[in-house]
Amino acid sequence: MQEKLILKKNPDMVSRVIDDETILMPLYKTSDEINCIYALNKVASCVWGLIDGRRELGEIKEEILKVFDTTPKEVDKEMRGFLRDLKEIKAIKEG
Amino acid sequence: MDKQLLKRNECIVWYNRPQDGVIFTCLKEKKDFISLRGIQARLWTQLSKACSIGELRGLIRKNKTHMKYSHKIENIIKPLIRKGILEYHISQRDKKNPAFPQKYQKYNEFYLNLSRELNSVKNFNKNPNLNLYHKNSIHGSHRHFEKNEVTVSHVYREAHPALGGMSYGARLFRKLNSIKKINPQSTVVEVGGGTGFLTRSFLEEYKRNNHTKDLPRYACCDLSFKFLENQRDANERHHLSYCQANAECMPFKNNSLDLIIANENIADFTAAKVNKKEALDFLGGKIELSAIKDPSVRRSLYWIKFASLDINDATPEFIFNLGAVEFISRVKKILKRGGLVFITEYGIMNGYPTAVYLRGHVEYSIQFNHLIRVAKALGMRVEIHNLAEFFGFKKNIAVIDHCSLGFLYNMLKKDKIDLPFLAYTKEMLRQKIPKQVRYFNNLKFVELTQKSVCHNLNKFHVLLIFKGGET
Ligand SMILES: C[S@@+](CC[C@H](N)C(=O)[O-])C[C@H]1O[C@@H](n2cnc3c(N)ncnc32)[C@H](O)[C@@H]1O
Repeated sequence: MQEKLILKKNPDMVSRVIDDETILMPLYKTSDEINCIYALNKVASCVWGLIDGRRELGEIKEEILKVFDTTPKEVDKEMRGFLRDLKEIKAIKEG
Repeated sequence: MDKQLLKRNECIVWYNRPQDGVIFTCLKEKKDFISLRGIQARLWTQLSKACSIGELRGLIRKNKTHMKYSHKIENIIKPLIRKGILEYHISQRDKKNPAFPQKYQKYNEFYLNLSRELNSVKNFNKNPNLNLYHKNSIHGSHRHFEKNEVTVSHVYREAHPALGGMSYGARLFRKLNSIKKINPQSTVVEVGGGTGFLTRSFLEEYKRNNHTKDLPRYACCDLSFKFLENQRDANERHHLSYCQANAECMPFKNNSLDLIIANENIADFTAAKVNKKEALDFLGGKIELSAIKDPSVRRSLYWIKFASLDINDATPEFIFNLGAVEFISRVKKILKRGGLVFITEYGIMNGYPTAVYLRGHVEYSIQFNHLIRVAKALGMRVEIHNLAEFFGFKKNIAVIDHCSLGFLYNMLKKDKIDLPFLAYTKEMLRQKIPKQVRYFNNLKFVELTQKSVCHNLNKFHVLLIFKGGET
């Protein structure tokens, strides 16, 4: 994982926390995305909450390690998959 | 086409007039009253359960009077479908909802709310100004709360079993009096009192309770002159003060009031449309308030910052209950120390306000968490309750649903009976119109856990705000 990378949220992705679960809904409509919503698991919710266009990925990882009982390797793996998914749905971009 | 299944629209209430077989139906949303005759009435009776068009054709053929219609049955069905009286029946298996596969059903509400928020923002500028509407376009009369907007207090304005035999206004007095004693020395302002029924029963209960004719100093403040006239007429025997003013900036003296009542009206107060990026830029110190041109947006941003409201989860544009927030800040000034505000309205605890389309105007649901945070930031104590629990509504009682009430109202009009709009139980109706029991068969009565006439009581909240000192 690129520890120094800074990620920004797409302002057209609305996120809400409902019953401890983060739900994302894209407002940008391409034919695939119409009416999609995405529900994030606990770690992903936490990562999403920490992405603010300022924090580096390395810092986010450290925060996750403070909250969850897990190893750096596992966090790396989980974050990599999750961030790839978020990029795919255009929820985040580098910058 | 012949295999297509048809069914009745389940929301329809109907009555079959025995002497001529005419069927009356009432449509839910539009509250239209429609009579079906001849072949249409026959089709309706045949459809006691879903039927295919082919089956209906067969049945019609058997009837001598109607057999001539059997080949053009589609032409008879189409207008009934257009009017929403009949529907094509989609079996469970065929029911496809591409947006929501079964496993996502629990997110349905989230999705619908968000869609409502987006639509509310999109149509915001098209909607008439709420203050101007209340000031200039109201014609008064208690029918306003039956035809234009039904309020909970209006349908429980008479003694009701769900409130232990009390009216809404009487029950409100009991509750507020138990929180803060109301006596002849108290100064009370009721905001947006509509037709004045609540005031009347509130004060009657006060008199009964205090064994006195000496009322508290009681003022009615409303933006609508017509409603103030209604309030005066309903309370002729009481000596009250009346003030035509906007509650968002009420002209009462600072530190002068013990109690303020705002029953089901803050959704009528000014709403503002805010741009999230502009708001975040302002909160992040990138732009000054003075750079924002629209005064209502400028004031909204002031309050968002003042109460540290988190708007990160907002859509790119969102609605803010500006008038309700400014009402609370005004209340802080005019209440005495130890004073209390009672507010009730429908709304949400999370998300953002959405438009509610009523006849003649559009109002906005209340984001109660925003109000709570503002009141706290102003240094006041708050309590939030569910309306049904606060008033002690007995939720196992079943009352007539809105569609049935509209239907009954129209039926009785034909009999020259003017039925007041109330949350009737079956028993109440039996006592009120014993000779009309024949209409009762198809009326729907629904438990308050699900619905009260046309309201979901779970969506109504009571916000109590205390200004310092003893309460
Ligand atoms: C929906 S009605 C509620 C009436 C009554 N309280 C009830 O429970 O049936 C709203 C009332 O608030 C008044 N109103 C609306 N906007 C107002 C404002 N900005 N200031 C004062 N009164 C207002 C209306 O004229 C009307 O009397």
